[in-house]
Amino acid sequence: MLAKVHSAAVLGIDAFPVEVEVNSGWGQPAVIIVGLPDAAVKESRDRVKTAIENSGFKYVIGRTTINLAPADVKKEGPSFDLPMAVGILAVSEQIVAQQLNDFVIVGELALSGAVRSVTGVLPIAICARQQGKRGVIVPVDNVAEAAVVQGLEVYPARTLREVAEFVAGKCELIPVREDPAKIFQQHRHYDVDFVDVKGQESVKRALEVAAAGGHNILMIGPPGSGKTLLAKRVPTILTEFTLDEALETTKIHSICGLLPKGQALVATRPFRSPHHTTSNAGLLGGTSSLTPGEISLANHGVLFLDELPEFHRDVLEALREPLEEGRVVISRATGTTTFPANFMLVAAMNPCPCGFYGDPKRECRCSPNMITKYRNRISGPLLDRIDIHIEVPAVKYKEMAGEATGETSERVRQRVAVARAVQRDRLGHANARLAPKEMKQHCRLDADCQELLKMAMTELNLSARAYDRILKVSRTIADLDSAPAIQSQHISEAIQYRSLDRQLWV
Amino acid sequence: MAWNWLRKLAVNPTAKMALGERGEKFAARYLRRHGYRILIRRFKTRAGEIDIVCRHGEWLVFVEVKTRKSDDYGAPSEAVTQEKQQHMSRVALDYLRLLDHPRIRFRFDIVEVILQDDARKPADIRLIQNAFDLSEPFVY
Repeated sequence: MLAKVHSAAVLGIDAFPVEVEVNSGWGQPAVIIVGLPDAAVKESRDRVKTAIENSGFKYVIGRTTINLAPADVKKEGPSFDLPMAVGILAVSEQIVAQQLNDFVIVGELALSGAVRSVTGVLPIAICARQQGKRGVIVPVDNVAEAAVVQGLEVYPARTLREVAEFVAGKCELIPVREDPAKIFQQHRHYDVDFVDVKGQESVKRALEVAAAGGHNILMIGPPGSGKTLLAKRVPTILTEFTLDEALETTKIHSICGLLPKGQALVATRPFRSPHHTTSNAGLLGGTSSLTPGEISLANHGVLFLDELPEFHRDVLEALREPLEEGRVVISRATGTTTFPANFMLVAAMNPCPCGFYGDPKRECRCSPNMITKYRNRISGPLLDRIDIHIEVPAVKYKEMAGEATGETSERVRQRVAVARAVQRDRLGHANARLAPKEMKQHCRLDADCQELLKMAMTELNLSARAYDRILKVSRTIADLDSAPAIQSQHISEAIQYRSLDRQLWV
Repeated sequence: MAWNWLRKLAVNPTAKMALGERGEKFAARYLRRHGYRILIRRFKTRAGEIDIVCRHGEWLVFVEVKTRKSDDYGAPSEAVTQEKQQHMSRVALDYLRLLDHPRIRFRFDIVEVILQDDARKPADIRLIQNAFDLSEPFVY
């Protein structure tokens, strides 16, 4: 006797089909699972057995071999419990399943026979559609994730008994359907807004410029000046999240099992702020298996690194390639995969170890040596990839107590969207990704500007690295201004955003 | 181990053996009523003994009967230790060898009988199907 159930597993950010073949022959009732199962898959033998018995079926079959094909890829996790159980029921002729070929089945089993949620349901549903399956049977808690895939019947699995009766055609399940565009519309508002931030107009402006050009930004300021508060609001001024972007980001969140129960889409740009003790694998992805890291979870959103110098040096250095390429390639024993990592980096740091260097009120207790050491923890190459540095001064009492509120995120976002549209028409990508060749063409300076920049370079002791950055950022400022050519005021604003290069404070 | 067993046996050998024998009788009756066809009782080889060998549909079933006066000191089936399972596995394989290794499905069941000394009927009989697998390293 042989039964075949279709399932799928996640590798990288995409799923691949897995066939669960169950064969039962003569001999003693032992179950052998082959096809590179990991510990969680091997354990499903006992879960499946108990779940079958507790669902009112019998677990009496001869020597049973369960093969997870393709046999050369490692299978992980408990998501094969349900297909295995259905396969065993089919092979022991307790159900006559005619339509097993039409469905992809995933799910973890509880001992009671209830179906538990699994991770990566969205990529699995996409994979099922690509294979031309009629539908998927997924745990009821994951049904919303899968339901956003169009052209696929998504059936919720509550218990093993229900699934068994459904595939045998004895009972009907109601497919769940979700319109991604509608959910997207419903959930796209943010909980935070720039209106909440009092004062700090210069920083808000810098953040607007950063958002408009896709520039990475570093905020430098004393403790309590509102760096985190500001950073949390950056996603709200980025351009509207498109559905395609949302789906890509949702896929990654689905793999990590980070989607809240019943939520179908990540409808707002993600904001991730990993702690500074995070490891390489935590940030970039890829433990022993290939799991996405924080930078991929922040895909199309904001990665906020608070206390930047406190991060491990090698972790920060590892950020360099993903920042450049917008993706990260992870190679591990299990294989190689590419995760998208198209994020905007927002970093924050104190100006010195004690935090009060340059503060008008409080005195800094740090020696120049200490400050240099602190600053040097961030390497030049990484700083190279951060276009904008902005100082965040402590908020004055007057501003804090005042009634005056700033602009809403909505209005800022509109300006950002206009600037982004200009850039897209010009080059197809944001200014932050301007290549040197493109820069020569699009960042031409007239005589006035050149004079200004020259003076700034010499007087302010700017480094060569700063030169390119200033050009890029001034291009963005000009775009925000809807100016076709870069003008001197754009240059002078851009020069403001190089505080770490000014070498004034070392 | 063996000495302990002998010493226990020496206390009241007949009563214990009688209880076991009566339990087996009730177990056989219970199995017969539940569609098992008894093939042989107390199948003995060098490796040990199997209480009941029977057919249950397409299955060949090796049954171990455990009789106790009460559940108070744990379930009777707990007494079927790894060691006992190994012995039974060996005997089962001997049995299959006698049949010239048929291509057949077989399993091990345990019947728990709760029986008072003076009772005419057991207080409880429980059948545990497929109670354990062929012990390592045996395969069939």
